[in-house]
Amino acid sequence: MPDLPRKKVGLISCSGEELPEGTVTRRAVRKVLETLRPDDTVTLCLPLFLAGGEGERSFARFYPTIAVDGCDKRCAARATEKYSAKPAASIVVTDVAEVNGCKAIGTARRLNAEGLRLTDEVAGKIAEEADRLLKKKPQSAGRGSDRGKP
Amino acid sequence: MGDEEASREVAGREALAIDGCKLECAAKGLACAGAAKVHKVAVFDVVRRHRGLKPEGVCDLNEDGLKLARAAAEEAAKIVEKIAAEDGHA
Repeated sequence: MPDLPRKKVGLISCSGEELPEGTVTRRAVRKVLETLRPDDTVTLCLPLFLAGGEGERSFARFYPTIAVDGCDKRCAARATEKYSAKPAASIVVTDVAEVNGCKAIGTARRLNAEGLRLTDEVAGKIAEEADRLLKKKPQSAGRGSDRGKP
Repeated sequence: MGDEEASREVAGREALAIDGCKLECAAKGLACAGAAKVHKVAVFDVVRRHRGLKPEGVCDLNEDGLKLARAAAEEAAKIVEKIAAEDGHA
């Protein structure tokens, strides 16, 4: 059997500096990359993607991606679709916040406890989508004991 | 991503990019958005100028990382002050 490259899921978080939800996207993606699914995920840099990074764009053309956006402008999802291919999944933090009843989440610089709870929820959702895309049995989505850790 | 309001804020004006790596994607983005002049703060150069500081962590920077962030912010503030002074807003 040839040794084929392992299939991974690319995560693209928005760069939203304007809203605390942008901070949530970046923290949630880091949590998935470092703690929840380190062997199954890689991150793609949205500014590099927009600036013409061919490596990022090629990856997103051939591998499944999850766009994680802070607001309904959905810049990460739209950029992925415009320059590569439609993301396999798209998560919008404001939608997750609404479903989970999260309201005041702190500031873009410093999330409060509610913001960290929302981060955990978003990270869990990303992990679930990654499992689905890789056709893996659902694992713990990490919303429990490691709450608040990146 | 083509947001008209954001593009209007940048087009024809001086802008400041703070880039984390040598690819300078933020500066390229501002240039593409029509900034008249792009000023740059290169974080990798800030790190080089403060060799004793060892930043760690991405979401939660350690104390050295926070000091470097402050140093980058001060460089950015100086550029903003200079632009404002040249425009007669100081």
